[in-house]
Amino acid sequence: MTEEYDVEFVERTDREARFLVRGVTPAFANGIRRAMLADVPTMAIDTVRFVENSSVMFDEQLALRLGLVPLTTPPVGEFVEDDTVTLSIDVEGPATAYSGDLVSSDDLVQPADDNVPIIDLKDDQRLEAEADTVLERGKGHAKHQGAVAAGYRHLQRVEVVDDVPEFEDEQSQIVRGVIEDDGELIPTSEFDHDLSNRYPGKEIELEDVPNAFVFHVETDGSFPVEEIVTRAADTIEARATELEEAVQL
Amino acid sequence: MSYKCSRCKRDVQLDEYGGVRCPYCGHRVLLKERSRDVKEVDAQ
Amino acid sequence: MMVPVRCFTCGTVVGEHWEEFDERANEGDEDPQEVLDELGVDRYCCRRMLVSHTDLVDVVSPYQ
Repeated sequence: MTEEYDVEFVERTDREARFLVRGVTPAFANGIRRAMLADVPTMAIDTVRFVENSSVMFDEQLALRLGLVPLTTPPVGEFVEDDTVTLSIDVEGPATAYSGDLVSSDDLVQPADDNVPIIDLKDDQRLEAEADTVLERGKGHAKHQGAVAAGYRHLQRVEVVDDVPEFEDEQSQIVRGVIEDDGELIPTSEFDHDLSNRYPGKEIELEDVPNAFVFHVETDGSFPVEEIVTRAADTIEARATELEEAVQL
Repeated sequence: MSYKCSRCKRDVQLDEYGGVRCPYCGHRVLLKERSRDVKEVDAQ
Repeated sequence: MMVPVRCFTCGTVVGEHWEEFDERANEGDEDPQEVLDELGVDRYCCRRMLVSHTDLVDVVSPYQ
């Protein structure tokens, strides 16, 4: 692709980010969002072999809980879809089995969160199991969904039109997302999402900035936010290339 | 088939003639023990 | 029974916050709203996962 997109981060932490992308169509913005949710392969437990389970929950219930534990996903190229990594867990009661008790056979695939309770074990209860992980897409099962609550809004431009007439009550004007004021990006949380806090006594007009979208992305810990966005873009490219080749036959 | 009596907690072997009853205490509720096999489950 | 690992609606991992939430808001006398804010559980879909949860393991364990 020859077009350049202008990307600017508004907020950025390890697992959550908000960034502005300029010069993309609404269709492409939505394509990115959908790709982040459904098309980025993520590691998750797929089959569990129970050696012993004398806890109060059924094997199937525990298998589902283990499957939902987020795992760190190795860098591109280290694994392909259908490669497996084995994790094992062995906890004896009285104790609580946590996701951090999972012992991995590969350093690249580890539980992303260590203190998710799996099952509370009482006296004489024991959980011993082995689990195989697979690299799969969010399409197949929500546990393979790396991005949670990924979405976007239009960037909104604020314009001060006039003063509020002298004897009129000031009304709150709620807006959520990120606004642009003289080229400056301001998250609405800074003024409690109410424009009348930021521009007291002014009459305000808001308009969507064309082709500028503010994405909000959170990850479950499988990988950092930048990683999931770039991988999503890569899957779109891969599919586009595939389509191109298929059509040229 | 190996069962466990739910009242006296003793292991009970059932055959096809004896009917469902614990030979030690006469209790009629027997629990089936979990198999020692490894059980494979899909995390779906 | 046990806390759900993830939020049913959005998929955020909420299970890891349960023990602290239980200790501070259910056992302790802190305001659940403030505890959830501090834990970073922002959306109402995730908040209801913790607020409405009851641990039943202790209730069912005698009937094994």
